[in-house]
Amino acid sequence: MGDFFKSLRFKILLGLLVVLVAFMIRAAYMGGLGTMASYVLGVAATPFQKLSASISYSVTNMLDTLFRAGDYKSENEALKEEIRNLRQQLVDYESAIQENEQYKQFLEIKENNQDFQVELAAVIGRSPDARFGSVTIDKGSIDGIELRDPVITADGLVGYISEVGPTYSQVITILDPTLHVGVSDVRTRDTGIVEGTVPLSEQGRCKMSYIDRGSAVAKGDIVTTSGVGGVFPKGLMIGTVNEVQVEPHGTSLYAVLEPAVDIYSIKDVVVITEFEGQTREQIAPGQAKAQEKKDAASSEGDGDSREDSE
Amino acid sequence: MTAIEKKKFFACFRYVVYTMIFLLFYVLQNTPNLFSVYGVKPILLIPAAVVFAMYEGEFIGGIFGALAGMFCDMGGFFLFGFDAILTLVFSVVSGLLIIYLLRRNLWNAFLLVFFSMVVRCCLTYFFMYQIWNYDGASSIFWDNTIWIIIYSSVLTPIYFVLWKQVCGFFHRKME
Repeated sequence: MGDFFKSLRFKILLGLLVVLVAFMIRAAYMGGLGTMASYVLGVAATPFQKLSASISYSVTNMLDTLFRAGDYKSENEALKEEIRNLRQQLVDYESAIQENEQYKQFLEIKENNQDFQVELAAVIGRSPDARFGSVTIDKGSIDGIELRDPVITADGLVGYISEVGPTYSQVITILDPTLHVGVSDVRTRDTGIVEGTVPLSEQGRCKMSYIDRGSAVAKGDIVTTSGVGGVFPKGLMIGTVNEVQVEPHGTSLYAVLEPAVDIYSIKDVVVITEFEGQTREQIAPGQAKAQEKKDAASSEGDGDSREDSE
Repeated sequence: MTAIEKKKFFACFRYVVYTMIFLLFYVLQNTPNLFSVYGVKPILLIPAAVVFAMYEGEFIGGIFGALAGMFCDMGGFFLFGFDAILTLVFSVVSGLLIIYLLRRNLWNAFLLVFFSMVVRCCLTYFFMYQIWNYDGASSIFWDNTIWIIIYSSVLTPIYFVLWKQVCGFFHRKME
């Protein structure tokens, strides 16, 4: 084996190792920006991933229909019954219901938010060890997507762009503990910070922290983005309050939220590339990670500073 | 085409085939819902690279190991280069062990893949979750990481047979 360490092959492999270490250091230094190697590999692999994802979705849907036909039938009948009851009781609100249905359409997002510039994208990748429902989408910098652009569906907020390649981007979700979103309760107007925790993320839920101890936040309340900070536009649906508890330190409350979006099963998303009030922070090389830490630290501070993290 | 030209052709063509196979593994690994069992998906690229090095040796194995690792990095959410470095090292070690110490059989392939996956997944868990001190982070290890290691390792026979056939084909053509 000693011969191997003196051979040209060993020197070439060592050279390759040094190059890879350089790549890694550069990736750490540049934060969310991919390296040239990842750009090249990404451009080559994205078309195959798109094809593979579409085939996978088709097969999954087909199998799902086959295996759960009975469930669907009973669910369908129950839903029909529910629709009949609702129509009888809420005739006056029919127009509102239709409007609500239309909200689910991506184009309506644009119509109701004239300031939004959006880009439709499909989920093409989920890594085996992806953090907290993180996904890869099929749009990148050539489509105008930038770091920290908000990602939504018709149901509500998914997360934001954490890394951008030419033809793909990576999205971290509201279930991730590193993502902090300034939010407010629609009914009580109490503010807080939505963030992920490990135990809640396993249930597909997230946590709204820093709620004032005297707040009237209650189960069933709707929580939306507050728009403070300029990373996310105001009024994006986050979810509904599932339960309210006192923090262990006793000075504030926290709420467990049921996100409006089923993070673990999203297939199509909308990336908001521009909106009114958006703050485009120029993140200098090496500051991306530091900024995330700063955001996290500020969110754990007092009530005023926590809004900055959004 | 003369016999020498044929040998040269296959010597070059095999690298194209190897690259395409690793690209296929990358696509399969990252395709949503594919091979997902109770939310756990296997890592395909690293075990494939480790077994590949058993057939192609430490040099070619190491280079393709780095490629497989870069594919992993591209689909993953950690520092670009982390998996590439690890997989390069795993592949070189795997190739050298087969040359100097171990027999090329399924059991040894399983052991090499298993230990590679243990090291890789434990390091990933440590850097992604443990050092950030998230509440309840250990549940990720027991509910997810462990199963990824097991799921990825039990697929070793597939890589073993695949590379045996593919590498064997090209080696025969080049003899």
